[in-house]
Amino acid sequence: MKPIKGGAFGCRPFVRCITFNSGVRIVNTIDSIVVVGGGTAGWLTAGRLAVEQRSRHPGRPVDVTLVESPNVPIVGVGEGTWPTMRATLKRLEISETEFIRECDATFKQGAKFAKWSKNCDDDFYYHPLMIPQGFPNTDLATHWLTNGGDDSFSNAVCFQEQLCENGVAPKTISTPEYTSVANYAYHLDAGKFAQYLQKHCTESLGVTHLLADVAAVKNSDDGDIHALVTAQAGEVMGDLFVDCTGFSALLIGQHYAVPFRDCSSVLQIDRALATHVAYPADDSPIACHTISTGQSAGWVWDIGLRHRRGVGYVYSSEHISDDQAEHELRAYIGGDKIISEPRRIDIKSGHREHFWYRNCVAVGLSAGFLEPLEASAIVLVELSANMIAEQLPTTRSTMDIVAKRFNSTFLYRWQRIIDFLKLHYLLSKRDEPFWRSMTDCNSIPESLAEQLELWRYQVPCDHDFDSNNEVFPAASYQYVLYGMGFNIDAQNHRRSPMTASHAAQEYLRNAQITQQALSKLPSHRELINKIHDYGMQTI
Amino acid sequence: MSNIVSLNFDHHSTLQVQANLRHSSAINQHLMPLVPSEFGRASSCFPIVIVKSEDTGQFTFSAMMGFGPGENLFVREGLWDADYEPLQIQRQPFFVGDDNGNRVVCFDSDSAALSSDVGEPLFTSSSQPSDYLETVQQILNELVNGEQESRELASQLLDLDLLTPFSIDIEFNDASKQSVQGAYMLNESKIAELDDQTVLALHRSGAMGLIHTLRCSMHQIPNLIARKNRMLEVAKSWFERA
Repeated sequence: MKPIKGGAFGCRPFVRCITFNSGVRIVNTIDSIVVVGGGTAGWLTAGRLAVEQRSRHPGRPVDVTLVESPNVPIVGVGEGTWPTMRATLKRLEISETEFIRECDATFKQGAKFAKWSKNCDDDFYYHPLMIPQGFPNTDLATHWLTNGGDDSFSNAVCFQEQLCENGVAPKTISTPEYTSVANYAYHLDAGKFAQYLQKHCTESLGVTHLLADVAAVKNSDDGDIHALVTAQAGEVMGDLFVDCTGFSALLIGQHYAVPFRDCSSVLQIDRALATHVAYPADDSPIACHTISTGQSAGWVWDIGLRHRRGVGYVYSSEHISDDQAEHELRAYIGGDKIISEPRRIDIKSGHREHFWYRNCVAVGLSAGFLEPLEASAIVLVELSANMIAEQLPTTRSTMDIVAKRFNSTFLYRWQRIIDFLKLHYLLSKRDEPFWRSMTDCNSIPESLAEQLELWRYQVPCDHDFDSNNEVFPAASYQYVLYGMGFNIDAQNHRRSPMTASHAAQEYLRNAQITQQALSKLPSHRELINKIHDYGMQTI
Repeated sequence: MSNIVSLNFDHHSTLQVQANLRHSSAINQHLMPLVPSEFGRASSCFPIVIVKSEDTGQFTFSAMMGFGPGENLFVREGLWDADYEPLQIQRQPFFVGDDNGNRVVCFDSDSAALSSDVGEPLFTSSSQPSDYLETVQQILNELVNGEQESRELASQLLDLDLLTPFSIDIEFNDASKQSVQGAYMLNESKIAELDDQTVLALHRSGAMGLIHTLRCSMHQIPNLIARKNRMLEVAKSWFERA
């Protein structure tokens, strides 16, 4: 990947000539960005880039164009986000009230993993969105592990499990937009979200929207993408192309053939069966967390929106037939009404070997896909869009440096996510072939095996991770490990300096916060209805 | 407790209201909602703060009558003790009810202000509404219209970014401390930064007058503190005497 030289003079459309005293030098500036694909990834990236460029170059904003096929539907099953989405929406100058109203959105305060450890009805644990009481200054985890206690780990150290179990919202109607009482993310209707972002990006952020099918990709002499040849809008030229074309990976895969790194030996799920389920009544409670329930060959997601639930089974086709999977999915849904017949989606776990190649960067499903266990898809889009927006070079000559950094950052992030997802399975005691196969030691990445070895003697802490690009904080590893019943060597663990009375104080503090929150916060359904009726204030 | 009844001559021809008891429902209320048309009169007695309704989260304007829930410093020994009585009190025990889409005057038949032998009659001997009832009807009308005016004013202030949260920490003469939080006030510097066109538009619409009234009313806070201190003084001397 050599930077292009001045020889491109006259060949490319967006060349600027800058005259220095010493003579003439040609600098290829980045003046236009073309995003291909109009799903969540495409619009989030286009919007983020438009906002950043506008604030950076108020006088000379970079053009952001989104090209979308009028004939290809979006995949649209990514309906769970991270709390990062709050900052993302705010940055895009979106009103939280409007977002919740338009996208059927609800609040998400974490994930409940049921039947992951054992296949029985009372088996569950929570991965809430708030760090343990006193973390990281006090280490309640070691105390909890070595002194036992009747309460679950997440209940002992965090008040959010109780909010979820009681269907309570993370804020009140008088809490300002994007502010929380308890940390939260969202559940949303992916189809409506893409439409809403489209409207916002084109009407308020100045993104140009082209409905056109890409028929061919034209390279310039140096191997960069010069233009997209479209059936409806002719040639669309640009300086940077963002591939948000989903599984088809039009630019990064089909055009540049950047290899795909398959990780199906680690994460064996390769199929999804997605459907929508009606609530029994208009005022049925809305779960304020994602519910993930273990099945014989995978798990079922259950996401509560305002008017429906999104429910789906992700499974390993090697361990269960499609018919049997559908049967299990229907058994999970039980008597509730199915609104849309189950739709099958083939998935391939893995990611590109690099994501940014020449003047093309892949964001979203084109970059890779992992089972949606921790809602990593949309957060990776946000993180990618942030890094592209913040580090977008002004000239082509420095783009390769940024690309290299982007690639190493995101390879690291994908690795950590794969490890963290795998961790969820490792401690399962379920005995079906799928679960046994997922816990097979040959399927465990070395990096994860090493961490587990360390964690036999010490609880996860932020020092265990060597990068400041960490996706999951140490607290998340604690919730999963101790939710699944992982233990520490009681004799040889690195001792906690925490006294019994200090620990008791922290547990008590958590219990007090839990009671306060439960008595003051409205039900999730009530808050969502009020947001539709009255709206939230901005201050 | 309250017991809601719609008012009509046939059933309530002898009903009377003791005006000096109509504040009885406000004895424990530290925030009294106001409508813009009474800001001027109210500002001569109370700080007017902007607070969010707990139920809807919408901004409302309220006379601050105490420093926390349960405290109304303008009721002394059971009697109303201010030169101005907000419309929300004057209207008591009446309010506007909805009867199949029609607005009707209703009242709380359990109100302590109602009587059958003393007070202001609601109907004349010729079965017409009395002057008192007509005044109540006007007040109810003003309140209904005022709700809309309140909403418009609040959203205008929000759009112009003129609202700012405030908190005050007070130490009273008996060394007790209290902090008041969750209320909003106007941001003086943002008002000063308004451009000429906006200032003129606000002036022409009458909003600028309301803005200045709200600002000035904040000078009532020291008076409110003094009132609390006097009350604490009275309580103290009462205990010492006992």
